[in-house]
Amino acid sequence: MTSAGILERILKLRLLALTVAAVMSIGTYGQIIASPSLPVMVAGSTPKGWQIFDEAKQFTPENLYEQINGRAAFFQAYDMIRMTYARFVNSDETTQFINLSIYDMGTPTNAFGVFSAERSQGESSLDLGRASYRSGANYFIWKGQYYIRIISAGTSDEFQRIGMDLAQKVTDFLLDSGEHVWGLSALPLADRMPESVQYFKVDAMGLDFMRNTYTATYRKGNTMVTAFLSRQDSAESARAKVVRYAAYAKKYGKGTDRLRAGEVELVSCDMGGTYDVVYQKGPLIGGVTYVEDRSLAIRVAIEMWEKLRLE
Amino acid sequence: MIKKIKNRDSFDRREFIKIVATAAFSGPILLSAAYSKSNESIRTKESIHRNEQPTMTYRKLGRTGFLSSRLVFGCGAALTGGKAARLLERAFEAGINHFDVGSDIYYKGSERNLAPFLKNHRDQVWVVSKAPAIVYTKSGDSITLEQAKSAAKYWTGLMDASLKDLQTDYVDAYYLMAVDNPSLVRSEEVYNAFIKAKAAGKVGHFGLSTHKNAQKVLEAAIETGWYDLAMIGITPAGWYDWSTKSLAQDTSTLVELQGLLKRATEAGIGLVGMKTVRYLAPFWSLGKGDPSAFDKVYGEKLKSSSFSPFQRGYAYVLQHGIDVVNADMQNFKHLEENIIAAATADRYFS
Repeated sequence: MTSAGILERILKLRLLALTVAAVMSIGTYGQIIASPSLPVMVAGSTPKGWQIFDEAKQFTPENLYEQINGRAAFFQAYDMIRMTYARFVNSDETTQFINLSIYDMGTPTNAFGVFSAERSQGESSLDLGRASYRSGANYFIWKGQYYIRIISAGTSDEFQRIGMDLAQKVTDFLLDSGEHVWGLSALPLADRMPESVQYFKVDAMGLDFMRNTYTATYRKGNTMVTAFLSRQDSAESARAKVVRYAAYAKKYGKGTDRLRAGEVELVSCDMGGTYDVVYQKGPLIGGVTYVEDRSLAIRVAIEMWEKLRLE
Repeated sequence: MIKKIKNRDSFDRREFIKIVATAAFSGPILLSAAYSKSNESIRTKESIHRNEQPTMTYRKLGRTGFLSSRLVFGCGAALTGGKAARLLERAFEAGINHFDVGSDIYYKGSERNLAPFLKNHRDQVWVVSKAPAIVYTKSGDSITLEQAKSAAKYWTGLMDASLKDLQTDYVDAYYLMAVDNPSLVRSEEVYNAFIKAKAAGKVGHFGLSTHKNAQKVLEAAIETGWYDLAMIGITPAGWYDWSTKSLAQDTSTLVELQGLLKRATEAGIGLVGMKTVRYLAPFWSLGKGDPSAFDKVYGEKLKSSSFSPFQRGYAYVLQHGIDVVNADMQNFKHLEENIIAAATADRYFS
């Protein structure tokens, strides 16, 4: 056998092994469970008339920067496990491309975190995965522990159609464990703006001590108010976090007031033109931030405390 | 009924800038004095002045004439999701007047999250955005005319999207982002796309950012004479290569690169440093986790300063041919540290 023949045989065996691995990973509903098998499925999703450039690749936290440069830190902060990437190019015009990235974030909460942090308000929502939207001919989807980004070279109807087909195919073969995201159900629904919930694993609101924090926008009359909520290990930890918040307000703002309304204890922080109001409820720390009207800030914080949906 | 538990804490307003100055020195007066000394020489008739404060130092950026704060607020990662939006006003109070962001295609949502701040301060700050002119080639390959046309069209489309997301009709500069191919730098197709955008009143100045093959990219930029600004991956120990997260192979040190940086300056290019201290950062922040990696190039005065390793890195490059440094600041602590470093860098060099 010639060396070319041997090489061809090795490649065939490799493809066969990958295919077997992929098939073995397919769940009851024909959905992929293990992200190491994704390259095969991704290659099989190549749009008609297009070809996969080079091959589908996978990146880990150690080398993600090779693909997305400085943006890697964003995904690492949410404990990314693996990213599967493929570039499809039009067979007739190779400068036309569609890039597909599938981030396996390990948990639905982390996947929601990156999806929500990147989501822009006012984009066209789609009925794919747990949440999704289209921006031009680019598609962004959250499904279970996966975050999917499809970026197109253009915005034409053709790109939109191909992108949507690809989004549909990829979403179909990814598994959703169904594990729920705590903050989405804990934050009160009344007056909550659709798709406004975000999850920040670190540095929420620019504060180095605020981790694992959800934020959401609420409409209160004509005013939009941003609320936040974070679950700590214990009530003691939550109390310590409130103290830290007050210290931040004293350092960068004008001062703080401690208030009580019935059984609700609050710290009102005058940030110089705007107000933050913070509360503790068991292991939770929550509040509102950047509100111009102090009395509104206090009222909404109390409402939030009362309406938190705890299991 | 809401009851006050305790009397209001009787704190005077501890202005952020005062905190910064106090942390760095015995008081803000020293910093004001440093400001006067550092900035008087650069006040010329043709300079563009925006939001200059005594808590910051400034440097003219090449032929743009703009007196930029020596610390540039890197908004790209910080404003994804809007989490650090609150830092913008604090940065502004401290005299930062240069805000660098990136296309939605890369830094998703950052431009939109910068827009509310710009609504209040657009005329008081210098705003730069950037986008990749995507060409899939190796760094050393020459791009084809077709590739150049496609890249120019893509870049122009992203520039228009940037303006829309920033809710402004003009940015002070727009960069070719993450360029590693000198032939793209020399592409007339791309340059003409910039000229058209400039003629349409969308952008003032042309620039590029590079952190791979950066020396050759900068040399190409100098050669063309087209570029007003270059944001380069540079450290105290030399070029930073983002593709390896390390110092570029066989890099000259920053001291040894002074000739090239001087040529860039003489060509009218304002030099913006980036990735300056990334190498020192922990792994989760894409660094190598070795805070002492640059100590060998520092003098005793800087080494014995109370600066953190990150502050030392910024201070060093600002004293070695780099006009301003771009820093990704995600929380108040980062902001505070970086302002101190940028505002006082000259104290550690004689």
